[in-house]
Amino acid sequence: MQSTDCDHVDVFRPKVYIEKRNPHRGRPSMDHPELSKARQVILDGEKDLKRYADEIRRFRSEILLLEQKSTQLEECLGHYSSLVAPIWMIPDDVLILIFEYLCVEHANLQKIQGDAPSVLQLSAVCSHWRSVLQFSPSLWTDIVVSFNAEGMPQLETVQLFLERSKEKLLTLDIDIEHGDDAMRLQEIIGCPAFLAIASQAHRWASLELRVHRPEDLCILRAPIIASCPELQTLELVQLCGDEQAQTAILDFVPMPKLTDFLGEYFDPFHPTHNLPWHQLTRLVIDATYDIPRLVELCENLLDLSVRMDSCDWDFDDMVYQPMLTAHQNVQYLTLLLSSSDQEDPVPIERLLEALSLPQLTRLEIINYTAHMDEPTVFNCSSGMLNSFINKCSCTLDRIAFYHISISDIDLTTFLRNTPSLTSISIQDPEKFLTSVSFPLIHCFY
Amino acid sequence: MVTLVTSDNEKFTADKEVAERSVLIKNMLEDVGESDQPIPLPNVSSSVLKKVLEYCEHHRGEPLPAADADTTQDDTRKRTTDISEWDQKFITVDQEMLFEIILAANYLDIKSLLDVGCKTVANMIKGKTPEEIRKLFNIVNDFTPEEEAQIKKENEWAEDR
Repeated sequence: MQSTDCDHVDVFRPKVYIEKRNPHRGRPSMDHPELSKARQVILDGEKDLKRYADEIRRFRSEILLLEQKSTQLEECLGHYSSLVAPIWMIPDDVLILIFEYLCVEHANLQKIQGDAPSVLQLSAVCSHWRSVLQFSPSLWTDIVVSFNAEGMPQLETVQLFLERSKEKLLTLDIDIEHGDDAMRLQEIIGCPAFLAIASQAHRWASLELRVHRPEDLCILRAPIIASCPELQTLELVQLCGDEQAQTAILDFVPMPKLTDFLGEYFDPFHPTHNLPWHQLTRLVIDATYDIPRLVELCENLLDLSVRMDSCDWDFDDMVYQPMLTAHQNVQYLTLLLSSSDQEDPVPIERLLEALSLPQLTRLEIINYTAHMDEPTVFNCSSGMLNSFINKCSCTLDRIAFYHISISDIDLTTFLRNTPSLTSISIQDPEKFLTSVSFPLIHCFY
Repeated sequence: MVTLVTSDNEKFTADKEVAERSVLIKNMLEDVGESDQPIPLPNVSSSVLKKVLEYCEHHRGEPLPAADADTTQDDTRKRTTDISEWDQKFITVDQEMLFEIILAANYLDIKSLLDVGCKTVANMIKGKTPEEIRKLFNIVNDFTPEEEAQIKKENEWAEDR
């Protein structure tokens, strides 16, 4: 920006000298010189007034011009100070690290409520950030889509994420809710947004599928998709109902890389639920099914978690058939407890009695009710634990008991019986009395 | 002890164990072997190196991340922006120093410090609108009208609220 000289301005000199006069009182004298002078003042004054108006206009326009220049200068300075802003020191690879922290949550593509996904908000900051994000396909791979009564995702939005993620593997969270309306299910699986996602089944790496009716699982079957060649993690949550009688048993599509399966309200023994059990290395499953029999099917299993945490399950009649042969691979066992009315350790005891896991190195028993208003106390006895460990002949090196009630005597008995332990994590139950003495607990915490 | 020379020619001495939290310095020391030669750090000023050494001193003895850690997609997904209390206090500096520390951590290859810096910036951005982010970092909206129209279409969520 350069400074400029002001133009020459014709200087305004008023003809009428303005003096403060007292108001005239009474009838003015009408002698000739006074009259003539008054007329001349009026004449000159009217001309002056016109010049005053012109001057005011000129100054106003000058002020407007100065204001415009000031605004322009502010913008210019803003531009220059933006150029030297510290944020521009950051190289693009570090900027991407920052974006990764911000885009860690799945991008919810439902336009009905909430904020736009972080990746879209960041893309709206400036052209450089937008360009960096557009060339970072991994930031566009986590997608949440819901198909329900409130609506369906827009095709353009789904396509935007599928395109910008290039050929990267996808992490999907799909929620399907259509009540009992079979027509609505047809509408969902025929909608353009769903078809766009289904067309990318070849790059699904992780899928969390929440369905409300068993027949919704058809989306894992032909002809909806042909195969899931890259799928490693599958989490199925089926919220209600039993599988309807079907005219033909349809298989799930091939999932040659599936290693992690998490099933919730999912019957692993239903004939249509033919997952590649032998491939699995990690399994999370409800305790309401014959776990030992399932573990035998999963010959490569390393990590088993059993959910005993539904308040509407009845364990009283649950029978676990003891394993016919010991499983030679399972190393980690986690029991997840949170039922509000299952204080009885009997189901756990029954399950442990039926399992035979000689390679087990880590045992975790976690009670999730600890932070609820009315937490449940799960009582653990050393007899139950020792009997399980002795039967398995396993060498445990880590145990974790979170919010489980165990007496001092039982705990010390168990620890004496398990000299191989190198890591012990124990959190005492909160908000209620426990027989565990605090000094003992805290020395292991 | 190791002697480090900053871009403004100031010399700092630090325990080898502390200085070696920087993978760059560790590799340099391994390359030159036992030597009293000062290590030049032309990309780091004295004020920034002072902060970096304060961080390394505090975290002395903690296990260093494996060389290939955090490179998988899964690791990226598990990232949280939680920062320990001490680190939070340490990184409470003005924007210029914050970005200088991030740059230095990146150059010196101190992954944990780089993470603290990136998490701090991420936390500053979190929950803000694009306009608020621009104001925060003094970024100019330089989109063309066509880009603005496209962005408006992509970000219809905000208007639906």
